[in-house]
Amino acid sequence: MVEIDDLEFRYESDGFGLRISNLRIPAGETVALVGPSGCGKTTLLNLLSGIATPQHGTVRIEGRELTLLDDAARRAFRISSVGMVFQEFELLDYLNVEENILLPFLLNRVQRLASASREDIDELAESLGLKPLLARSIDRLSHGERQRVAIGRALIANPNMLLADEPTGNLDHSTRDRIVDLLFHHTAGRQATLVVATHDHNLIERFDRVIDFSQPEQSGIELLNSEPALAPTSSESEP
Amino acid sequence: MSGTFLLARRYVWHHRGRSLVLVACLTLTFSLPLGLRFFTRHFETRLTARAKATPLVIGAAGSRFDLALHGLYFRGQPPRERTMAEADRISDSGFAKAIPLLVRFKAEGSPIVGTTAGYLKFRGLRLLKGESWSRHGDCVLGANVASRLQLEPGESLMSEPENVFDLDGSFPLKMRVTGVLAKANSPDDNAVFVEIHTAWIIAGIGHGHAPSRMPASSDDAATSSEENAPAHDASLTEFTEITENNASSFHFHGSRDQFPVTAILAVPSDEESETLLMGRYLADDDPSQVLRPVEVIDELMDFVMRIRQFFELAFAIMASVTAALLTLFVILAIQLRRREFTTMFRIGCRRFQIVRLVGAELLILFSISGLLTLVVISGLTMAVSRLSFVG
Repeated sequence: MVEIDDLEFRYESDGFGLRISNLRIPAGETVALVGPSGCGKTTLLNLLSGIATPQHGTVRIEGRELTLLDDAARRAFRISSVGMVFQEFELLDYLNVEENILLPFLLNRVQRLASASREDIDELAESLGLKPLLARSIDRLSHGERQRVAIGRALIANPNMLLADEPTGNLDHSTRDRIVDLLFHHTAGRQATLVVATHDHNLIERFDRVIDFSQPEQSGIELLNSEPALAPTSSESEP
Repeated sequence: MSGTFLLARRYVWHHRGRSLVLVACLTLTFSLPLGLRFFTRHFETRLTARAKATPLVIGAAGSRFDLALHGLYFRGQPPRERTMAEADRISDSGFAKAIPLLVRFKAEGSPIVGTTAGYLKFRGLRLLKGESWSRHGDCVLGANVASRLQLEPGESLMSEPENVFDLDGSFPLKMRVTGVLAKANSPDDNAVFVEIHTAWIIAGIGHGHAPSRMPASSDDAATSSEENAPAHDASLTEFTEITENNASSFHFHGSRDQFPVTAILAVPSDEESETLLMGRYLADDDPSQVLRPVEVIDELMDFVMRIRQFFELAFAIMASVTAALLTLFVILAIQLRRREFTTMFRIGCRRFQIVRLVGAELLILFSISGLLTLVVISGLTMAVSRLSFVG
């Protein structure tokens, strides 16, 4: 369960931000975040993943109050509880498929989860159709295969919540449907919450719930200093 | 292997062209100053060791460096030669044991060192094969000469004429190899040692005559002063080889005192003798000079060190430029990889972990460069040990 109360977040650079009085996302629910570019979808994803910390209010996920956690604990939370899929997949071209999937653990020795055993990796790769490709270089993968690797990386820690930022942007219909199918399939199988930021209105009917940022009264999300930057994807928290 | 090092290793390998350029730059930056330092230190050690082992060198007045290099390394020629009389005077004085050297000729590119058996003993040279010289025309080879020319005791070696256009000059002598010296890692390995009389024969001071013959006919007998007495042929025959048959006919004309030497190694019995002997050469108009090789070599090394300092300054500047370029490279690489690092951060990576990752990549590059530098220095060590200048 995601619980957000009296949250206010502003970027220090331009004062743009979000105010959310109350937002509840039950575990296992699939949620689409829609709205124009720069309306705060990515900011909300960053707040849910603990990358951004609000100035006021609380973000509680599975009973854990993210705003009270220190940096290390938030990172641990991100690795163990949150899977993220990015629009451009952001795979590392110098690693092979298996190493890209295992990247969260390669980067955090302390967080090398016992759950990521050989069987888990094989099972996940099998389910994504990547098993024969585990040793292959990213350079030699098709677009669709890369998508599956990105999803594999997001799911490897068996997260409670999967966050996807425009995962179907610039994709043709069949590819878009395939990736959404994969996201739904894997989150449903794990009882994980799925939150997807998207422009694609053709997708929204597949989600349990749609949060439209362009309708504050309905969504309960108010934009602050709303002459927004085009795409506030970079927060001060990022390196 | 830790995840950080796995990522770093993969990154370095994936961008191997770029990595190779960086490794080459770093290797050069490390190798050049280290190599120069090693090279000069090696030469200093070898030069100084040889000089320390040679108390005094006496020769014609003139360049001290020329005489030192000639007496120690058989290099170059002093401006004039001295005579055996000088060597005898030193020995007779009781101040030092004199070892004469006549180094004027070559055989197959190696210097022929005319000396006495005392030289081999003084340098601690021991025979690996065969025996020392036993008659005129015998030679003992330094280890490198024997190896280079593939010569064994019993084989022969021809001396080179001093000047092929000088018809009046010395004749080449076919020398019999009687022994091969054990490797000494010194200039002695590159020399051909002969007894000093053999060197004088090569110089044309000694020669042989045609053997005596018995009269073969009555006509011959009639020319003899005494019947049945052997007839001697007074005509000079220049032999190119000294054999059992003609060895006894060899003799030297003139006074031995006047026979040439190019340098004399003097081994004083004690410090006082050394001082007294040196005192004999203090006169400004003395045609001879005495020098302590270690002092001359120190002077030479001072000069070399000054040149080395200049190079070290140049290398320090080069290292600074490399460091600046490397810093620029790292900054640009971090900017280019901003998305990659942002992704890492978003999936739970610490900022410090990213610093560690870049540090690990640099560590790998530096380690490879360090290993290559070791290889370069080792190669240099082997190459230097084969150089003939200091053996």
